[in-house]
Amino acid sequence: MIFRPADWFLLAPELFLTAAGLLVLGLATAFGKAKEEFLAYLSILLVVITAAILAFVAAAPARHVGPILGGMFVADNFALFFQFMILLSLLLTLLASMRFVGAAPYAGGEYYALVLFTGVGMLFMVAGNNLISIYVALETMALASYVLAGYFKGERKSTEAAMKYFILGAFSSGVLLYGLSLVYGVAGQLGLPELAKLLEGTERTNLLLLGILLLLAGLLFKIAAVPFHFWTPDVYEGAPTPVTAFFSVGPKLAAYAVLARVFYVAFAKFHADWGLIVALVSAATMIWGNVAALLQSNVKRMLAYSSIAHAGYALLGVLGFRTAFGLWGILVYLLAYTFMNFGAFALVIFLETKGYAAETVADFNGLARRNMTAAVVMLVFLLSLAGIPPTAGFIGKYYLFTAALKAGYPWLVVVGLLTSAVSIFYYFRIAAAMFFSDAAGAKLRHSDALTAVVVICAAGTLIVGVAPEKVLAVLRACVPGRY
Amino acid sequence: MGSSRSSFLAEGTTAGILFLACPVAGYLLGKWVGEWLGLGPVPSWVGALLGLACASFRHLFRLVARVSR
Repeated sequence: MIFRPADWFLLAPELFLTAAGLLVLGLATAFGKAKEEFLAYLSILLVVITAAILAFVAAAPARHVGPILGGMFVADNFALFFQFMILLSLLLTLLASMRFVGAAPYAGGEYYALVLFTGVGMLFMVAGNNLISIYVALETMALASYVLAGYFKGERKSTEAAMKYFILGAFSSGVLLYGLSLVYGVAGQLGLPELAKLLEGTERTNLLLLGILLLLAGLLFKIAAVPFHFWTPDVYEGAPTPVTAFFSVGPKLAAYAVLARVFYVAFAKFHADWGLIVALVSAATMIWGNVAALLQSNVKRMLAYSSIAHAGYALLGVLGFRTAFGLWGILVYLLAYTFMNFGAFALVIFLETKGYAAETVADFNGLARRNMTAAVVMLVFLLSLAGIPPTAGFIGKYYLFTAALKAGYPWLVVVGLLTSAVSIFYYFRIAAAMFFSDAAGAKLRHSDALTAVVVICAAGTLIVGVAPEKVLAVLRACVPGRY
Repeated sequence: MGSSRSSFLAEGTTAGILFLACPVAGYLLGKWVGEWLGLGPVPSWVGALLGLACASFRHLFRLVARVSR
């Protein structure tokens, strides 16, 4: 294994964020509840510095592109894109959490440290180039996430959510690890490029296909695709709302990056075998997510099912990975999804009922009369989630559907279009409550940090939707190579 | 106390057995359907995936929900 000094430079953002998490954790134990606002601002500053380091690394004139640290990780634009998106989701989460953590009777420092550690796991995950390094990074992310889900330890729902997430997450990790061990048993390699080379000359065996299937199952659990989705509504409902917003974006970004890279680089040869399974999963996820969301009156559960449906749309990009639109479509869609989904959750947090974030659609009643700007911004997020132009969601869906069409899955495009039409009904239930209901809704609490989150998300949703050319050009350069 | 402990043990053991049995049953059922309809090996893998998800994971999920209440 070759370790070059330059490799450490390329891993500087990950290493800095690790140090940042440890610093915040150390200060949290020293300060307790007293200076948690300071720790929140410090965490935000440290995430911004990490992003600056990442930008510096990305702009370095002689930046090495390819495997690093003996092939355990890879430095490429694909990883860079996801790392920037993960840092953005960390920033939005920290900003959205400040009010919640301040109001909770628990010391908040650990919370911020856990958010940073989750980020560390995700940064390593998206740069993973070996199944073992990917697995270790995934566990780093997952362990911190389980604790975050149960942060409100006095609340039964929160504890139950953490318990479910932990047990099922641990089992899914076990399934993934078993798949990984079977692949290793057949191929004797765990590096993605080495696996690709070796499998090129190997006939498919049942053992290898079982290994790939178990790996796929483990990753489908992480992105909450049907039939591995049932933990999502309960965990999203029970976890503190800023954590739910984070779960709906951050870990999914990382899991999609891994899914795309592993199946694009290592298992491309067996596309005929896993392609149909992914197509069926995608169709089931789009249908189940959207139909189940129709039946929800709890906003967090509705957005949970909506995020399940969006996982199905993004899988279209994995299917179309051989076309020019496939992986590029995933990047465009996940960029759009981050802004619109986090924005919608931020508006849910803005509304306060019984000391918590909004719970039901009725909490949005008459929002337009009380605050027209908030109602209009929420409408923009809902339009984008439904995929209506000129929003980011439309651009994302356009590229994913094109990828599926070019990859030979026209029936999936039909399913996607029909389920998008279904989604309009439940998104517009919230819109109707905001603009046409006279009943009393939840009160709107002012928060500068949350306002910043909403402004960032609204700007992102509109810029990607209205003027996508420059964004698309940047993303085109982020499609991974096979190193 | 003793009875609840033994019932928990029984449920845990059931979860463990189902985790292995359901994907195998799904695989065999899918294989039979694949051969019957001439669809090749894909239905057997779909069956295994469904067995893993719908029976094994779902049973575990319900067990955890019951225990944590």
